Amino acid sequence: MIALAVAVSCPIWAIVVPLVGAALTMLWPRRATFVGAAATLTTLAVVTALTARIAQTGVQRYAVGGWGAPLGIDLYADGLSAILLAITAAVAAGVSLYGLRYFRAVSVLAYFWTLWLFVWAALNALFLSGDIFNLYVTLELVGLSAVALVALAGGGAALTGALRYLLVSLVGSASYLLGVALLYGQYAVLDIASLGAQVQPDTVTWVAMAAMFAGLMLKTALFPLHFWLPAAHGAAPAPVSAVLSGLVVKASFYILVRLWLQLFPIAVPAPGQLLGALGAAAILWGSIQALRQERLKMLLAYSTVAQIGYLFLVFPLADTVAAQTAWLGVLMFIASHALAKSALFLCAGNILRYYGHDRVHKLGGAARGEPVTFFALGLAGVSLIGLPPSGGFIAKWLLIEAAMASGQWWWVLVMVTGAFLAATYVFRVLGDGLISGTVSARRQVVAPGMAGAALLLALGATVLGFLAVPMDELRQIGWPLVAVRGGQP
Amino acid sequence: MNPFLGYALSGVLLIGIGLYGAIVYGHLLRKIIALNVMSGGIFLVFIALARRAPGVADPVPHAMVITGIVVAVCASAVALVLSVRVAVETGQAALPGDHEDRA
Amino acid sequence: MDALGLVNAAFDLVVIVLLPAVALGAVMSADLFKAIILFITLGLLLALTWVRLAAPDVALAEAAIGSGLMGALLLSARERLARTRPGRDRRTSHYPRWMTHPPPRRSHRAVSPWAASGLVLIAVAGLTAAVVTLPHEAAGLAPEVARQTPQRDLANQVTFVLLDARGYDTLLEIGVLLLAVAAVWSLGEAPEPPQNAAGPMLQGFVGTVGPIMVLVAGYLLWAGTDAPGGAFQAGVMLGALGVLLSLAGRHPLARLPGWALRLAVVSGPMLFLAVGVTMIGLGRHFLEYPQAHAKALILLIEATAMISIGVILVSLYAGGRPLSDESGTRKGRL
Repeated sequence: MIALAVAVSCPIWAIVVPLVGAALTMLWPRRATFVGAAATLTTLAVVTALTARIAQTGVQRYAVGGWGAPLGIDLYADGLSAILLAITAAVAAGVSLYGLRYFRAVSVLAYFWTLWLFVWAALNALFLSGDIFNLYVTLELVGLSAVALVALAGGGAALTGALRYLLVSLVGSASYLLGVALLYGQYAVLDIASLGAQVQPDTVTWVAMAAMFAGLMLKTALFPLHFWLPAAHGAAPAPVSAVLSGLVVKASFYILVRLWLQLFPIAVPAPGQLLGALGAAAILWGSIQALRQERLKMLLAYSTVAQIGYLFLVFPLADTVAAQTAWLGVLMFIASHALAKSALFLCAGNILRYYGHDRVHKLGGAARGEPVTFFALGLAGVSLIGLPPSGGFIAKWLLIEAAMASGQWWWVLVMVTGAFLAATYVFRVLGDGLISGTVSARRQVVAPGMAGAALLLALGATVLGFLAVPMDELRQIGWPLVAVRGGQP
Repeated sequence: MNPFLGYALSGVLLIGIGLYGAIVYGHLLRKIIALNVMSGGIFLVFIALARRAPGVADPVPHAMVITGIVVAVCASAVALVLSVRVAVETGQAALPGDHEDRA
Repeated sequence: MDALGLVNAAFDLVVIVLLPAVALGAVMSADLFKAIILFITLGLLLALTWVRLAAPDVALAEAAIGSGLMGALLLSARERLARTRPGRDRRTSHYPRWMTHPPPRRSHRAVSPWAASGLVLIAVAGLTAAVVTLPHEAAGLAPEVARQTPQRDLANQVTFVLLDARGYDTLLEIGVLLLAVAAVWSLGEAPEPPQNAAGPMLQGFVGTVGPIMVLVAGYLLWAGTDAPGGAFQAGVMLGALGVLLSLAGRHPLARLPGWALRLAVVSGPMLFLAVGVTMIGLGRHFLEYPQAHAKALILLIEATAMISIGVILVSLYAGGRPLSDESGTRKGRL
């Protein structure tokens, strides 16, 4: 029994299981739903086992092929990986449930399952990778499968959005690969931990870091490199938008965090302040654009541009006394935004199905017509704004606290303004739904599973507000280089 | 004399040329060609640096570049198919806001 | 410097100068057809460069994939774009209306050439600074690889890195190939091939060359453990044969039933995964081959991967899912 538990919690399963599922859905498209559901449940089980194992026994290092670094590739799973894996699994559960019903009428169902399981496998592989070149391959897998998912919607907007996304994504990963080449040229290792022990603040390292950061910022859609995001996230099928906004942009951000924590040779304040400034600009610009949108999905896409900005506020706070608070805050932010935004996109999908459109000012009567969806929309909106009780509230609270404690009050101003703007655009949607306007004649039934999936994710975002302590305990497992960075006064 | 530096600098130029083309040109095939020129430059830097090993070349970058070449052709194939679909839907082989430049 | 060294140095110099010159042409040439031909030339030049830099495995991959296959893909895309007539050809999407939107009206402004030049100059300057400060002699992981390969009976060190030491990367890379096919198939059915493609010359050529290519693929696979070659190069050889057959109007995959095609595509990655998982069953790590069977397992993985890679590349060239596919994607099935 114990042997089985150990075998099941091996990190490789979190990658192998969805990958096998993806291949099987290709082989057997008529049974794609069955295979997809089975793969989803199995993946959830192995990720749960892995997370529990990390929580209990600490950092896991797994030498794929038995070689170990420097020659082989190691999987590396610490608390940070565990948190991202768990968030991914939570969103994946909701999206899979939703996908069961959403694509039913459409001939693209089998491809949805194949591509979606590919994204999931690639995300898990990315969060578990301890090797900078292997990270490049996972990054390409994530990007390519995400692009194909966007294009599933068909039509001009989705196809052009997907193609622009692909081209941008290729530039981003090429830039990252260039950094890998330079780092390997200088240090002849690819393992992140070994690299971290060797890095020196020389020209090659800084240029490599700049190339990798630029590429990853492009892939994370940090202002002003966000130009591709609204078209792709807005035009994709609703569950795909949920995956993109909830998870995919966080994958490249996760690599940024890893690089920052483990590979930056010395603490210099300028890059952190620059990233923070871009983040602040993203918050303001994205929120204002969200306010101006006519369509709900585009509003949510611009809201993602804004929320990505908050993530980058961690960098100016990461080398101060408040570093630990800031890091917990940003992880909380990643989790709550992943759950809330995916819930909101699923709600948008329901509204699209119910009304046949998603024009924000014509959603009258939604509260009565689709009460579950509307309730989920409200809950997720609360978390997005950062009102209590929700994960979004705790996240923003922690970030504001960190900014105050480190004496950088200007970030507080930005965050409060951002919350105010978010409240404005969320209530713009909710308000129209509350007022019982004329409901258009053509309405379709929303399957209970679709409303339920949105509600589950929204509830998750709320419950997250009570999980800050366990998340911090998980985060501290193997927290990179506590002694050197991020912890010292 | 070890020619690695010359080849590596040539690779840097390829990266620059590819990046410029990918940003400036609107026609989708041109963008895709430019991206492939860019990744060719990256591979060139990679392989040139592997040539610095005394006697033999370092095989690890060779393996990584073979992986990179396969990934690049896969991404390009998807991009090309998408480009044709975009042209069918929108009537031009460029993204909205870009021009087809010269055919 | 002796005479041979001098010739080599002169040759290097010519290639080093030619590479960016041809690249400039490929990116900027006014005529798209010319640009594609220059791009193919660039791929051949790069293959030559890989030979000069003592990377024959990369040279094989580059010549076959980077130059040959990419060239074929670009030329066929150009031809398909030329055949596209907006309006006449515009297909109404087969998705429900609520799932699709018209393309956005307001969109991005193209970046000015000046801004792009500035960005490129910064990038080139930074990269040049980095490259010139790198140490001029560095062993990398070469000694480590040389220490480990004798145990494995694999004389080709690149195959050792690709399939053994970093086999996990290669598994994911085959995953990328599989994903690319899924993506291309999800985008719709393959466009009609042009009718007038095959002349009798090409037909005869394929008839003669085809069997030789199959032989070469088999040789590349078999020899790849000890000499330059391996699953990718061999798979590409098969893929190239498939593309030639398509050009000659004999579509190699059209006669395959849907399930066989899907099986061929999936079998390579599935076998790779199965070998990896079997190792866990034997109490080892994922993909940790036992010493005694490493070479046999690697050959087995490579052989199935070769077939999958070949079929996948032909499918990518076809540009959409096959018309014979009865995978349930017809209307009404799902």
